[in-house]
Amino acid sequence: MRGEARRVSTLQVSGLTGGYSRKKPVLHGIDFAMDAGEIVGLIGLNGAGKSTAIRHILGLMTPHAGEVRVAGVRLEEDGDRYRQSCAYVPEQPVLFPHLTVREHMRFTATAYGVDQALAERRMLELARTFRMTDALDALPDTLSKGMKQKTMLMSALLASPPLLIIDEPLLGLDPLAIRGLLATLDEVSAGGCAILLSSHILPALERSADRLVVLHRGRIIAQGTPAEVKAAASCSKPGDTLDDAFESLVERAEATGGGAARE
Amino acid sequence: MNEGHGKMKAHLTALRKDRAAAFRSDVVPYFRYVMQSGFGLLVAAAVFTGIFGYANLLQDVPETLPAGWIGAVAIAFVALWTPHRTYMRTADTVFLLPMEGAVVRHYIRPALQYAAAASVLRVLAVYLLYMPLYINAPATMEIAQARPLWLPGLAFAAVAVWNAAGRWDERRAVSATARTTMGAARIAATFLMAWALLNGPLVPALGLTGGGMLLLAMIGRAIRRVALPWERLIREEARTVRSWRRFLSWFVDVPTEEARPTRRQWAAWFGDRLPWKRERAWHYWYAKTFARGETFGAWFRWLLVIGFILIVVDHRTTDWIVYSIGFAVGGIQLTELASIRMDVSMRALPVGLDLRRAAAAAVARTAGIAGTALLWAATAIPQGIPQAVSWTSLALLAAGVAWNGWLIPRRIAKPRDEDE
Repeated sequence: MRGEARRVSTLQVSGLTGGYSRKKPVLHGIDFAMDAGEIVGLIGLNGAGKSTAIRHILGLMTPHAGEVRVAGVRLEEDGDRYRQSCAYVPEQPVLFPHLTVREHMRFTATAYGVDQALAERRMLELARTFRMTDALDALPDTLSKGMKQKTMLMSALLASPPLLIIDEPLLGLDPLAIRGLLATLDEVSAGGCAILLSSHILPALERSADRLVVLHRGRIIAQGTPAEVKAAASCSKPGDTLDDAFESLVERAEATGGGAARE
Repeated sequence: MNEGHGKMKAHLTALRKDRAAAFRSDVVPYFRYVMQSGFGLLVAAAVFTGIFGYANLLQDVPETLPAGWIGAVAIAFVALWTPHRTYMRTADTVFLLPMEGAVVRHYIRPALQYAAAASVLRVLAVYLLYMPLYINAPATMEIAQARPLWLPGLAFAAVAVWNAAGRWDERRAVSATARTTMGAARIAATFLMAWALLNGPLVPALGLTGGGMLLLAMIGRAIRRVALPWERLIREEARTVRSWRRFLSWFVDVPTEEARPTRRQWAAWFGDRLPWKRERAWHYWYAKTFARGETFGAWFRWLLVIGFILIVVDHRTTDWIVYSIGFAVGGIQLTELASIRMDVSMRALPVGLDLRRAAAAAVARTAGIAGTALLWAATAIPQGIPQAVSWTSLALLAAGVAWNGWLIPRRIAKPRDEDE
């Protein structure tokens, strides 16, 4: 684990049951926590409940049961502090069509209360890291999909809140940007930021994540370090990959009728 | 095989018709507002003024009037204008691309034939309209009487068809340089042909026209072309739709989600002057969004039109009426700021959504008061200082400020259902 663990978890998800319909919940009482400086990978098949879990954490959906705490508070207790404590990068870049890259970053920085001098310095550093210096004054309609994704990432990294949630961070990025992103995530987490990564690209998660949370049909079927998840899947041989472990866990969960298996 | 071909043809023909109908049903409902705005009256007045002016001119055409040049320029312009609507959409590169040949035959070619026929009718209409001047003007009288007038008409019709075909060939050209060069050559040749057909000896002029068209058509065929320039056609179609929306937005609020933002740095810089404060985040967002959006474009053009009318009319009472209409309609245009929507994930941002409407209202207030002040200055200052500081003038300024600085922002700041 990177960074110093604190008594209050940066993210605490307890008994979270939720979804669009109370009759057919997507999530069934999931529990996991993240401490400051941790990088946690959230993995699962399409429809496993990753996006629903993220939407609940962001406070875009109300849980049917259980609770989500960010930096120790629930959304209902202190909405302002809760919102300021997390930043989100969705899978599909959602940019404001009328704001340039630089203006997106300024808007995010002011929204998160980042000091102007610090934000301006960090903005240039991030632009260099993601090779976006020349595109800072471009409007989104002139950017490629990857550049839009970089803009979202740079804005979230500039905000640098206690919890950063990134959905499929590597999609659409070029190899140098992936390398830059992973290095930046390491740097940001070393600074105390907890990062929740939802991704299907398991080798990257194996390399970057301190812990993994494996979701299947709205239930956590395994969680722990990559080695622990592999062990739980009985894939501890030297050649076994996280992909093998994931496949094995899913098959086992399917065989037992859904998956209450836990590490 | 033949049955499949027939089905494909019917499908593509129907697709184009459906798209044309969809576009019409999208645009036509707004015409009522365009007419209500007085634009129809303005156009009708311009047409009637033109007809009377032209009739008067024909009764006594000045010796020095360069009628030959006027005709050549008018006909050339009309012949060069060959709009070719394709109604192509982004998804066509996925769903229609595999049947490119059929699309060319059954979707594009009929549209091209229609564009050429429409162009012929327009050119002949202008030629017929011009004919009385051609016959009566001292500069062209002798030339007109010495030739059968149907023959240049026939040549102009051919020039119109050639232009439609030439424009299509240019759109298909792979190289941008070839496209530009061919376009420039076609424009120059059209002006030259129109001038020669009206002013030069007829037989050489017909030879020049025929030879020029043939030569340029052969060069056009020789350059490297694609069967169908999909992306260019999609871009052009999107641009045409945007132009229509922009035109309509002068008169009425039109959904503008397809409009591309305009950089408009001269207006957007204002946002950068806002203080770097969390509670000003939405103000910044709205200032930028407003400055680069269609609402600003429509509002600013409206101010320019009103300013122009104020300068031209120069009549005290009328000026104040125009000023009042100007600030009132300008304010209504600004209420569009209340309709801007954003992705639901933006709710996760740590800036209260309750502050959004207040920020939109603040931006509308600033723009509204600035616009009112400009219109007031354009109305009052030319009337002289004593009139500018009269009770009437100041009361109307106060009315404008109250409308745009209080009433309109109040309306924008009101919470709406979609905020829930």
